[in-house]
Amino acid sequence: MRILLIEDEKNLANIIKKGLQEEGYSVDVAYDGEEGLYMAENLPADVIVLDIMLPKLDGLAILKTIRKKGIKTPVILLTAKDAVLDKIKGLDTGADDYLTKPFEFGELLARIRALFRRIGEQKSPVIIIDDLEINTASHKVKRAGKKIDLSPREYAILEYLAYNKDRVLTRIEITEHIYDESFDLDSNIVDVYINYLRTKIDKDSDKKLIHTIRGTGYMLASR
Amino acid sequence: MLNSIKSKLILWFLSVFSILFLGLGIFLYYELKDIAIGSVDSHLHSETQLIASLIEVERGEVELELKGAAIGDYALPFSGHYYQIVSSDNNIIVKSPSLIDKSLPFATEKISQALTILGPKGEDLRLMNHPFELPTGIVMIQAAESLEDIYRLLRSFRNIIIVTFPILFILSGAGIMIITGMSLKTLNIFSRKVSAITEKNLNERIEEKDVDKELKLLATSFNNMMARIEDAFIKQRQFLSDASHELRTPTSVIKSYCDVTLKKERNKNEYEEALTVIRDASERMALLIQKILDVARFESKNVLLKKEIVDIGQILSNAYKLMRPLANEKGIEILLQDGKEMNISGDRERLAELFINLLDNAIKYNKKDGRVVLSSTVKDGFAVITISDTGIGIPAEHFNKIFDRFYRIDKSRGSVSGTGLGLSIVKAIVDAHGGKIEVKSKAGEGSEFKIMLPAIRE
Repeated sequence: MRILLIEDEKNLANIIKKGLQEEGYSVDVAYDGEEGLYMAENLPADVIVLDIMLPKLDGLAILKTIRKKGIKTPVILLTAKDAVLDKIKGLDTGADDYLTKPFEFGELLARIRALFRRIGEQKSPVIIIDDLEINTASHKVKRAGKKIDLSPREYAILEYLAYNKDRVLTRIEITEHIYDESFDLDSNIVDVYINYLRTKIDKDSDKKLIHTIRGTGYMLASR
Repeated sequence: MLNSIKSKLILWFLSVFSILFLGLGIFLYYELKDIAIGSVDSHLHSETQLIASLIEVERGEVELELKGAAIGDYALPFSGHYYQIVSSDNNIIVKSPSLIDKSLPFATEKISQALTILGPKGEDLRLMNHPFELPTGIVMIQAAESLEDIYRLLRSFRNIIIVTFPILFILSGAGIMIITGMSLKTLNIFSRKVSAITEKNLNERIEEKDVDKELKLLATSFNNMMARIEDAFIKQRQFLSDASHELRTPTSVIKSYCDVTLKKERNKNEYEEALTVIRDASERMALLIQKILDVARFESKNVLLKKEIVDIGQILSNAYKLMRPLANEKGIEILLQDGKEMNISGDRERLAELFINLLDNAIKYNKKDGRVVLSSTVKDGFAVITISDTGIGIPAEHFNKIFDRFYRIDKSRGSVSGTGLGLSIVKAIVDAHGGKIEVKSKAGEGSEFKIMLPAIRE
């Protein structure tokens, strides 16, 4: 899952980025409004974490512009104002959620997960595909009740596939959503990780859940 | 009770009413008495004239014969109508039958006069003495009439006064109560409005058109006062909201660093980095709090200037010396021109703070190899201090906002550490000294701040 963070206070941006990366997300950061708008329009992000008070272009203006252009990426607003009117204005402009600074980092994570579930029309934090259980809150994965240990990257790819279960994802889509912009998209790293995942998840089971769709990409499905 | 306007008005009115009414009653009583007695006197006088005209002297004997209508009440015993004629040697020559065996007291002086005496029945009589010359010598004609009728008249007049006074007192008291109640109604509207005011409805005003003419001025001043209070309150609330907003950023840096760092075991470098950021953020918070308190103190006028006669040239030169190392460090040239002596009445520390703040800005927002020039002169009774720089300048549309609290031209300047409070403190100090501050600037070329402080004339 790839998150775009638009926040001008460098220290805050750095620590949020670090915290999100440790959760297995890939994170792109923009430090002002103009850069933020450019990245929101051009990078494939799954969630945008957007500060309201930004130099050059404020957060609400960015939100308005991207919504006008039909970009439906979920947006969490961060703001130092807790006036109710500001919240209403933010939500009316097209934000999906709202956090007032200073916030609990765990709360930011929980809200991001909630937005991911919304994309996958998933109500529970636990995604179940056949006998595979993925707990998106604790990052614990089980197959037929047996715990499976995954590296953060493996988990990120599995989670992305799971949120989009029964849907074919191209290699480029997967790469874009798992890695941030510094990554070389031509690499065959996705194939490598899919192989690791197959070994850990499908090898001991008769039913294969990870499917290769020739010429297109991969899909997680119980068929 | 007595400190209410209504009861005071009623009390005043009723006292004045009572004094006037009773005074008028007493005056009329005595006036009526005078008039009544006067009419008795004139009646008695014509009686004496009548008696005199009926006197006949026959053979040295004085005779008086009253007949028919003329005798009237004089014939009835003790009827209250009497006469007698007394000779000059105090012998009663003739007297009215009504006197029976009594007589009227003799006149002590031989002149015509009227007086009140005690009658034969112990009642008050009005007696008229009238000396009359006869061929036999001067006789005194005396006619008297009882005052009972007059007294009865006066008594009923007095009774009317006594009975009508309390009735009128009560009626007019009630009337004045209604009238004062009506005219004080507007005051009640006022007091209801005033007592209903809390911090939540400071925008309430009294409708001036609903108020009586006499209270318009009060309504206007009340509304003006409310407008000032509301304005101050809004400013205060804005300040509080701005201040908390400013404090949230460093707070969220600290909180996020703690949250993320505490999530798992870290190495030494990570802990050091986190603690350094946290320390910087808390230093920034401390600075902000200090500045916020400074501004708040200035705004609430709690800071009394320790005014003394100070030499502005001296303060400028001190500020210059203090800031020169910082300028040099940044490769900026700083110049002090015209260090002439100029005395003003001011607070030495605050004035130093003023110039240091401005010089700090001039250095902070300068370009590499830039320059800051400090100059001072006296003009029209003002010490004029100019601080100009070759810095990044201020776009014209920001001129009237730069002195606002927490106003920053561009948040990207947040990288240059600032609180957004420096210039509002500068403005507060200038205002407290009764001075003026002006700014001229061109984006990209530099800014010039001109401060005018009232100088002491020598």
